[in-house]
Amino acid sequence: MDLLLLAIALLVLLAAGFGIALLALPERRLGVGETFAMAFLFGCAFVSLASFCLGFFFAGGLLRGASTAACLVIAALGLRARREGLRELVWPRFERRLDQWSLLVVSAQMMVVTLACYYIWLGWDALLIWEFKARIAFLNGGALPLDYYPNPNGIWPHTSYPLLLPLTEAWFYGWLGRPDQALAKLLFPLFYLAALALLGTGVARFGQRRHAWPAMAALFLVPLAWLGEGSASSGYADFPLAVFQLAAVLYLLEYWEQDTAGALRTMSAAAAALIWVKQEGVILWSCLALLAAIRALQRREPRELCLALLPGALLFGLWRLFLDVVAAPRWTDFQRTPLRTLFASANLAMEIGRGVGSEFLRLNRFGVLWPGFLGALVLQLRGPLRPARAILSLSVLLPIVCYSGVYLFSNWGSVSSHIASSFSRLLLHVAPSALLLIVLSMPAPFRRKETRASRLEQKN
Amino acid sequence: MTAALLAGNHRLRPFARAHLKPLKQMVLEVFPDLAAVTEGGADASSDRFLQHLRIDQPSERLRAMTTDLAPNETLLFVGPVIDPTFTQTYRTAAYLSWPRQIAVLGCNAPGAGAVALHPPGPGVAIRRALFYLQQPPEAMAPGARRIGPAILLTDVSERTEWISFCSQ
Repeated sequence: MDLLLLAIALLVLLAAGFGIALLALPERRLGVGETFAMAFLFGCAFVSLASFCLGFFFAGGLLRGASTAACLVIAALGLRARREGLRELVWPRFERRLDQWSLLVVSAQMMVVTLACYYIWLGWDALLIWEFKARIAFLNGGALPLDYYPNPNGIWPHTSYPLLLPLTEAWFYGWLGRPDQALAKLLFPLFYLAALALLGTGVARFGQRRHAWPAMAALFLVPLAWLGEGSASSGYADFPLAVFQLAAVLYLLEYWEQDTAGALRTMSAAAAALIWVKQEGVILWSCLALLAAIRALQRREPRELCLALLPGALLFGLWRLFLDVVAAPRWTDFQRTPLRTLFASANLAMEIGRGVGSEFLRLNRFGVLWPGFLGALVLQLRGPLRPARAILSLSVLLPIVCYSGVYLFSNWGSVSSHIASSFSRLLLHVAPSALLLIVLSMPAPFRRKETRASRLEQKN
Repeated sequence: MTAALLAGNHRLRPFARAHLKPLKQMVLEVFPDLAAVTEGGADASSDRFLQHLRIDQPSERLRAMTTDLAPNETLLFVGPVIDPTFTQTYRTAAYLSWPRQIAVLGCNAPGAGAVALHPPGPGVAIRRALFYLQQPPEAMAPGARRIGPAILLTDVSERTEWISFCSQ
């Protein structure tokens, strides 16, 4: 019975996301994997936003009913706008032996990730920050009560953190009829599956279709993607944030390569959702907005740019305003430091450099991802400049530079401890995009010589 | 045939003991999160964070301690501030006590005073005190109930200066 109720909750969520995907995605044939991934991500964003907004007026069954109705309306709108989108879905093909083996490996890794998600307990932050909010929302009828935010004696951690993950978990709790710390984690294999689908889509679109399945299999070689603090199995918001970032990057690249309005629209929606997943999402959104702005200004499209930046800016502004109105304390691990103090602290910069550098080489967290990324960057520099790949590199590098820089403002006693406890989780946010760059940069000797038939196949 | 298989199995066991156990330890050393396995359940993770209390269904027991309190009453969590499990335990207790906002008092060594980590909110009275790895003051000791090897619970009937809960 539990699984049936969870399946209904998931189907309603996917229906809403599918509707938004049909409305937002570029006007071309869509892949099944891409459509599923975007439907899931948009569905989580829509359900959580709907629960938050409608939660001011309804509670309990009424709120669930109103949110379900909103989901079905948006699904109907999507279908009405693009009915042919369903008929023209591109299904994956497994004609080559390598694809069949890769499918087997991907299926096996999905099974391992699902088991890990179910059997490994929630991490510390996952329980006390994210699942706690979900539990409170469930006990309050589906939305967080306003007296939760002020947190008078400071015992509840981070009441001002964004709500995509907790309200999505609360959505499942609502259908289930009870909070459940183990079942809540069954949401995370879906994020992992979405990441795989987006990686495959990205490789097929910007590289070679035959590299898509091996690229998907390669995500498992990044241990922190599925195991450890921040991973899919930990219940933290970091892995979902990484998946949203990958989605936004894919459509940013498409915008750079093909200049379609649909790509900019989808990038804008996925990037805005970053702000609703985790507070670091603002940094990721800013980096993506900067890269989109360069292209839009090159093409003299200031109006399109403003429209693309609007959802994220609006979400950020309204959320901050809401937190001010409910008097939520801004707990932070960072402080405002005068610039002259910063310039004087060369030792601090050295310490940060050392700490950050050592995180890149933690093989038990990232495997050989970062050395591979460095190799991919070198290959980019050697060959002719390809704008989309340069943008992909920057969408990984810019957040890393920002993330490293914020430790200058750390208010921890030891910056090294602060870096050791958090930086690998921050790196995870851009890890799938880094993997995408590595696969796209695979040198020519490893590629099959392109035949006319394979070129035709790619065109189709 | 069966005997041969059993004999084979018999020979395999020492092999497994000699080689697979160190291998498992090595894997757990590299990926310690693999050891964090639960049996599932609604309170699987919070029970895991409270397992050092050594009581059955610790989440359910801690949750029950605050359910009958009035909205303007709370539970005071008292424990040794230097104990490494103190923060983990009171944070998990706070998670389980929703919608009550519990108060937390950290005690130093006898005579060294106390740390008011999370004082009760304005207008909120302490009606119950939970002593974690800590003996209650002499005046409260007779009414204290032992919940497990590490925790004692006592009702607080009159308004008490909350810092005094640490006195030995």
